[in-house]
Amino acid sequence: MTQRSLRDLLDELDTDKVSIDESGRIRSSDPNVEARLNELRDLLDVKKLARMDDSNGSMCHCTVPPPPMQSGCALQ
Amino acid sequence: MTDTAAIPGVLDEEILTAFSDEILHLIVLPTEQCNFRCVYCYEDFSVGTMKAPVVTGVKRLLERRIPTLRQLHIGWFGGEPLIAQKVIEDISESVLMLTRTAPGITYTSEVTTNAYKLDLATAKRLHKLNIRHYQITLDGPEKFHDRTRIRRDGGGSFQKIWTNLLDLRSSSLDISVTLRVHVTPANLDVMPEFLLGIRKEFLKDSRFVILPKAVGHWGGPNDSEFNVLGHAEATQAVSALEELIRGQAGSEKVYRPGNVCYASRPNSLLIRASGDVGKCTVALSDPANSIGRLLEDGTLELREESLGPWLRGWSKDSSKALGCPLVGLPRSAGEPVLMQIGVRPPGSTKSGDVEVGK
Repeated sequence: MTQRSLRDLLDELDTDKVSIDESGRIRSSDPNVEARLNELRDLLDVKKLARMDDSNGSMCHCTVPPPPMQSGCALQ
Repeated sequence: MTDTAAIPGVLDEEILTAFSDEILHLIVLPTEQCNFRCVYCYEDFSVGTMKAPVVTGVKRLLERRIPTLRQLHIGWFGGEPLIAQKVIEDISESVLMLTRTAPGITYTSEVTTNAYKLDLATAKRLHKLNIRHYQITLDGPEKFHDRTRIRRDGGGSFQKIWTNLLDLRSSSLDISVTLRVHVTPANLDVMPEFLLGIRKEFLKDSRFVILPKAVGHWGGPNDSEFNVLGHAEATQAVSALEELIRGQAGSEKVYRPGNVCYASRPNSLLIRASGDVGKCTVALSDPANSIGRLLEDGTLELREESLGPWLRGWSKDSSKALGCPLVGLPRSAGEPVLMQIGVRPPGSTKSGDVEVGK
């Protein structure tokens, strides 16, 4: 899928209808939103993302960007 | 096809991973108490150490999720997390056992700590629990640091933190440390010399990076009693200090946070010591930051309508909210707007040099 179509997909995703189920999984009770979420998931096959070792031999990093630490906060 | 990013400044992979159920980011507050009383702190310390039912709830939630996860990232925050090490150890031991049975998973963990209790023995213990990244704050040289990062009993904290940092550096532990260096009007002049000292002691070690940050009025009770740099001054000061570090020690020594706040990511949740679930680690008193509860059986009871406002940055024309969804957060009718947190208008910060915390 092209980057443009990823934008399209986000435009069609009504984030007000996105929720979290009892296990913390991302869900929607709206079938259209659930379909968009599934399309997003289909775009990412985490299993295929190569992992690489930090050249310093410290933490193992995935090619997927890690979640920002609290220091990424724009406020604090 | 176009080469324009779906959201400018945001990697497509970051968009996709934010919506993945194979990735889970939990920020856990094992306690909301602290052994410090930093003058700019925004927390009210109204919640104590995480009780057994909540600890059990976290473990059961992870028991349920880990078998289908590819990435688990746990950030320990507080309060001061290292005054609740038993909670950290209890949950971490459980996570390690669970991840051993899920060989495909990448599990990382970090702690944001004032480092007062981070002696080498503690760091070694945490390392065994796979907690290997630290964010530690210094407010400049001892004289300045001890005026603002004050212990609960009123004493200074610099010497002990510095000793702990030197011990970490002298160790062979496979860790990484982000030294968050706070910039204020009071310490701005001494900061270049201080950073030279940091470079000498730490930056030849690849495990250490620096994150200069301007102190702000973050909503604490003392906000009216100390000065902060105005927005433009802060931006300029932080840039100059980053440049100084880069010039002396290389660009990799400056920590670069991402453009998307964890609070914007649907697969990132804040678990408070009380079991309340939120999104943001700053607005702890804000009702909009309470999106539900974690129960003892590991199930999450989240209000369906409470998540959407935090995710609005992914929508068209709202991408600015990705960096901080709290700013301009839409609220239900009647819901109080928390005035303590937000971007203050230019000119609202006081200038001058006033000592605080005395």
